[in-house]
Amino acid sequence: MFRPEEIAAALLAERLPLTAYFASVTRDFHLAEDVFQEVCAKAVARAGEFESAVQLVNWARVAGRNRAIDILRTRDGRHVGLSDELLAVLAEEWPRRAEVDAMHEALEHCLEELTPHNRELLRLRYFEQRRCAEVAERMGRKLETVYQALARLHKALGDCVRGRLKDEEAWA
Amino acid sequence: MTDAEFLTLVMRHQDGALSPKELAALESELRGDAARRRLFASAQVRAQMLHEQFRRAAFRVVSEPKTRHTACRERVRNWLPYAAAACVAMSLLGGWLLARHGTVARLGALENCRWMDSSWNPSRGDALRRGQRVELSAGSAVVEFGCGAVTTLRGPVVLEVLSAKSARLHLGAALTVADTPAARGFTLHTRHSRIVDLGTKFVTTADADGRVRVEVSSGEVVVHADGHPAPQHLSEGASLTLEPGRARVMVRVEHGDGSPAFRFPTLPPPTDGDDADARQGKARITVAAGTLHAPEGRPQDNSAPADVLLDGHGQQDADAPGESAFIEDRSSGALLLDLGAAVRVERIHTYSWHQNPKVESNRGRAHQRYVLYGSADDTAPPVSENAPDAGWEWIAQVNTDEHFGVAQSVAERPSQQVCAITSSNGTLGRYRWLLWWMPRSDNRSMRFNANPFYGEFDVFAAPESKDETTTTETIK
Repeated sequence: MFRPEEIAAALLAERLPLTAYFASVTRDFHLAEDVFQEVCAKAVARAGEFESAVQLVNWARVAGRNRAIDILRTRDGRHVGLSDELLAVLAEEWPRRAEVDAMHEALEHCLEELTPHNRELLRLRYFEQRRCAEVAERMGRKLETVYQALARLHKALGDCVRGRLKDEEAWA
Repeated sequence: MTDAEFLTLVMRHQDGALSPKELAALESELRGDAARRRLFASAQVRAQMLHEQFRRAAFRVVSEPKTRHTACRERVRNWLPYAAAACVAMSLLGGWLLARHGTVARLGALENCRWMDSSWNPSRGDALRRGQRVELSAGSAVVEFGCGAVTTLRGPVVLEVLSAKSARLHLGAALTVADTPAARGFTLHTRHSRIVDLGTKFVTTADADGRVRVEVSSGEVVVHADGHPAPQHLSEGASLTLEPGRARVMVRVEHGDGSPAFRFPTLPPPTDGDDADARQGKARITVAAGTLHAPEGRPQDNSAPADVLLDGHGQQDADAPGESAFIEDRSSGALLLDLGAAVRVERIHTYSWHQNPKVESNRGRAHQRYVLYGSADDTAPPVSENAPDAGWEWIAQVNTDEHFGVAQSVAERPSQQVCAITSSNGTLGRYRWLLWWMPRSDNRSMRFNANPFYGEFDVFAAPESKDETTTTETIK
């Protein structure tokens, strides 16, 4: 049995991986954060029903996914995206907080190694949340080039993060 | 499909630009290959992190490297552009605000605001009336009060404007700058406390579960917790957490002068005059879960026995494993204190100190991170991660990194720290047993998951009063 404050603490600790999962449905960071807040409120209201942190987080993932799909259906009249069944498979394998925390710290350092141009590309896409077509127009690139550049940057950042985490292990 | 092609497809998915055929191709890749699912999840998580890191960077103004004691001040500085702009606006508005009936404050600069009520679409300069709520989902909004105080909100946050000189923070974080003579005395209320400004800048955070944290960057504030007879004075660099719950537990954290004297701004150094001290001969401390640090082949790095925590003093040196009790790294553990009999516990102080002599940035074991439980039973309840299930009563949760705003590097940590746990009603509770549950850090970075060097635990109990004895006898 969890108390409301323990529910809030447990969910806040998992905020980043959870919102990332919800964003794979909403494709909108702000909407994903709204979903997360709704899920927190629901979880606190049902505090007595959870028996472990794992159960709570699993429930939050399912509840948030369903809520995100509902919101899209209400807003757009339909949901076009990954199937429920595939989202459920992804949920089971989704990175947990420990892994994400370590990645988060490393990513900040890796970002510093990017060229200003590449940082600007990521900023427009992920901070300003501009559609890729708009990013392409602003940066004077073709749309397909922007997709490929983003894919390359993701790969480079992923490699950099893995490298830094290996170094961290050696630091101990 | 190569990894590069697959990632390009993922980018198109994030952009909402997949055709039905491409969506089917993406699903097919994800269904049949766990490595692809992992790649997809990593890209999603990375996108979320990038969003948050850019957002944080956008609010960051000062680019100088953090020094160890400036984390709190830096967090406040991050708010300052908004607050400064609002101050200028306030000087122009003058007393006009107060002249308007019912208007006690006004909205200042608004940045990327998303309001909880989507039908509300205010503009800079809009009047705020007594009792009006500012409910911000995301972004930053400035509220300029009639007295000259300026509060900068960062969503998600709910602030209720009470008067030209007061407000209630229901949820979220607010930076208040009230450093003019007219603004002195500005009061920010939370669920169970009020924070009165004495000419300062301070950040208040109210969590959904009722926990409130106050951090002062300059000047001084007074915190009145409900039911607490003595107000808490906080000055520059100090912070205070008010825990939710019946006992109104307060957690106060300060950094020391980095000397064996363990001097702190307001809290006392370790003492042998407390009720748990070895000299009193009543208390005993043991390791109840996990093990103390004892690396194979390096006896010089071994933790001291747990009873070093009751010897009446802290470490004599900043890097003294032999004078510190600390749990094995990458592990959780628990220390159990038996006070010999159930007593009314008034205060608990815990001290830590670590600074690697060769690497200035290495203060990996200086922080404090634990959950404190108590029990008045004759025998200690079983010890496990789910202590409340076993009958333990929750007292407080401590994470000094939270207080000092340590997020990116352990170099931001003060090397010497004290944590004082007190209660607004005088006593934390009646306990014979105290349990410090020290959770394993989930952070994979060794810089963050080394367990801290604790040097001393002091527990102060209230004297058993005659009145209490008489009452007990009468009941018998």
